[in-house]
Amino acid sequence: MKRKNTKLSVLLALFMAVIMLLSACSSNNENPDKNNANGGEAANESNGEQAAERPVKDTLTIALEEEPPTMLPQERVKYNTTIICHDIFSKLVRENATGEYLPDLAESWENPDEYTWVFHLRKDVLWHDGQPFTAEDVLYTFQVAKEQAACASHYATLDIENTKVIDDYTISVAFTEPFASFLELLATQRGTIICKHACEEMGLDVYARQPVGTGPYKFVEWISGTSMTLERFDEYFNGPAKTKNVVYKFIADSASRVIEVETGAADLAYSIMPADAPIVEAADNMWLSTCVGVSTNRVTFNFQDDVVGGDNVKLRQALAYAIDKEALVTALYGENADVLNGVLPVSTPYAVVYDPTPYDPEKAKELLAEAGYPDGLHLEFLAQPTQEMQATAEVVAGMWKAIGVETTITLSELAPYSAEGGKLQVSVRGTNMLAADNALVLWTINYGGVFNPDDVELDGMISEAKATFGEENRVAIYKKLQDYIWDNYLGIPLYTKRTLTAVSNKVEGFVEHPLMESGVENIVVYAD
Amino acid sequence: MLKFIGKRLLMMIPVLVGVTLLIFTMLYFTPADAADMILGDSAPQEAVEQLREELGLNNSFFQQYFDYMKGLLTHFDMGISWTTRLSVTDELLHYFPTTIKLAALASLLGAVVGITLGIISAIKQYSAFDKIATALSLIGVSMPNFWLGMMMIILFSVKLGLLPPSGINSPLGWIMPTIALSCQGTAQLARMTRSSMLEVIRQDYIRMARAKGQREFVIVFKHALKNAMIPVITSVGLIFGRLLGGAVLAETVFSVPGLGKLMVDAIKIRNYPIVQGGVLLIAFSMLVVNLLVDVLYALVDPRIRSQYVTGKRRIKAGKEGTKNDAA
Repeated sequence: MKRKNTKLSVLLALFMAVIMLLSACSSNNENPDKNNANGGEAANESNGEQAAERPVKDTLTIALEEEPPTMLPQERVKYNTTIICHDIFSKLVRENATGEYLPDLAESWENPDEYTWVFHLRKDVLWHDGQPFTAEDVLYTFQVAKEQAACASHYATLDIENTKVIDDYTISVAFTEPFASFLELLATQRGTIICKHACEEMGLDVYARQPVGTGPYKFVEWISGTSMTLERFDEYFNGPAKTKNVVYKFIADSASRVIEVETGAADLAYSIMPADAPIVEAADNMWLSTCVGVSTNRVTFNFQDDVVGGDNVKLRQALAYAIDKEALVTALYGENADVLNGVLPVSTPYAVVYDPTPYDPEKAKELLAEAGYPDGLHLEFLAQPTQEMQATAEVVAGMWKAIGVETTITLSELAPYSAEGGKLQVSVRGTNMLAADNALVLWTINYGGVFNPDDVELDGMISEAKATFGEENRVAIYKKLQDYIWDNYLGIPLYTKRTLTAVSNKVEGFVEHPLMESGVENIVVYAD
Repeated sequence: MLKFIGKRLLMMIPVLVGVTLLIFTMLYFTPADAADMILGDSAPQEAVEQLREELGLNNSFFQQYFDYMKGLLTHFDMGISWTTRLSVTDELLHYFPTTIKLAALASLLGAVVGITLGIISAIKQYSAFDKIATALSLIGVSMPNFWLGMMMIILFSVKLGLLPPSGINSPLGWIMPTIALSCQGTAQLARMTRSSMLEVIRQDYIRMARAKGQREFVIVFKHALKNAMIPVITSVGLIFGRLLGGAVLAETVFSVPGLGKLMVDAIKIRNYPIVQGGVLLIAFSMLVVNLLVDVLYALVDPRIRSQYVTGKRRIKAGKEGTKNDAA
């Protein structure tokens, strides 16, 4: 009898405990809520004037879409990883918003001949463990890069045997072929300099989870699936960062990232989907940064196909004339994408902007007839299996239908599609690279094969661009290259998506960047 | 009893082999190349080929399956995650405790609230309370937990600013995921307790207890509830089992670093080893929970316990029964 009563009281006690827990939580939280409300009003009143006196927070919290798979920069290249790499590591050179390369770890550089790059390094740089940074670290980085699958082809022409450390602060990098765009590579995640002694002591696998760098923030803690915490490195060679701690929270869902900023749980949220943009704009405690991006979607052709490939420029031109890009962008993205009238996204160095291809269905029909298809034709249309690519493909297909071009849309990645015997003729594809060489990868032999026009002239120009030194010459060769792609309709550029970031009103010093790589070391977060 | 448990444990082996074979086959025929997915579209062909070779993707189906099973059976090796290059077993064990905690909290909350509501509804059948509880249960059962989760985030995080919208870094972070997850279980248990109690309350021995002047409190909790609890206990167990594998969407909504979120992220990038290991772990936990429920069932209910009594003892028990009947 007694035992049963105990059971009962345990049950009741549990019930009460839950009730108490719930009520305790709500009463605890009334205060912060009030504070927030008051704080918000105060901030609006004192806007700007008392900025210097405003109390600042010691932690900047950023909501990031994806957790990095590894923090060894050369192992996997992903733009969410690049963002964090920027805080922990440094590169030899960095690229500014106008596409110039500025000194970072390297103070200066020169080319004694076409096959050699010599870098003079800063002498005052320390690793986060206090040891000095030297040319050995740079050599080691290139050795690792050449062995990692994600970097090997980029560094394929780097001649590691003849790359020499001249002294602690000078390195001479040798190539088997002239490589004029080496600085472009060095300014990407693939050029991030890693720490030789730390890698050798820990092993690369451990280093990939506990990175040691030379950047403004040092690594503190990484909780898988949740967050990564960084702390200011006071000896950073460009001066200490403004906020003491940075916490990256990994939140996969775009709407959830917006809510993080809206509720004050985060100060910045990257990679906001266009669908969530209105929520950010409507909220009064944050604003939407819309930076012209580099993520570009375009129609590409299978140049091994007899119909759309080869010298059938008239047909490709007809397809281009039939697309109303303005309408497409407005329908799919509103103001969060820009019509692209060029081969490269506008923020890419050497990008040329052309006169828009007119939207002219009548002209398109004429061109179609001239190309030998007066009654229209049927095309196999491949789109990557994402909602956005599908929507783009469907809108384009609808516009083509108006001039008599029927399509069958298949949603698939290229590799399995080809493996199953699919014969695509047109497709929509995306590129999201800042460097010109990377953005042009679509037309190179390396890239999957089918989009490569197998055009001696084009291949020649791409190799020439890689080997051309001197800024003026490079501008000229890239212009020639883009003219060729544009005039021959080797693709139909559609639009460039904007890079959307939700920024809390408490954040000061946020700088827009197409790939979110502007760094956070100058950001201040106010407490109120 | 021990023999029964042993038998059940042995029966788990073919089930688990079946699960691995099914999952392995399904993922094998998924039209996407893991090497391509990992390295991205811009990776050079030779790097993709190298990775394919490294991951054993060029081997035959049976070779790949055999290699996988060998690793699994000899030292619980489920391969390495294709993104982080960490052991799948370690990754799963890192994320699973969070899911167990969440499922346990949600089941507990569901049991406490659901059973309480059910008891009151049964005692006060057709009262206003009963009707409201019935309506709420109906809503609770039909409401998807991720939707409830999102609505709670809007109300408690965005509008009221009381609770953190995501993460479980603070104790407060556990509240919304727990409530969202427990909702369906609560409703289900409330309905089940109610109907089970009503059935028992109509029995003769309850009338007997009332007739002899027993206090109502004792009647409800001792005579009625104890007998009515048997199907409810089974449900609590099954709800717990279901939550272990079914917290996927709620974990994603609240960014809870549990098994469900790990698997959703893995599915997105075709990280097969994690998906395979995760499904296997969920299947295994479901089997274990089912076994525990069966054992618990036997412990609570003497009628069922008698079924496990073997051979001679069963005959003996049967004879005794007949004797008693005769007497």
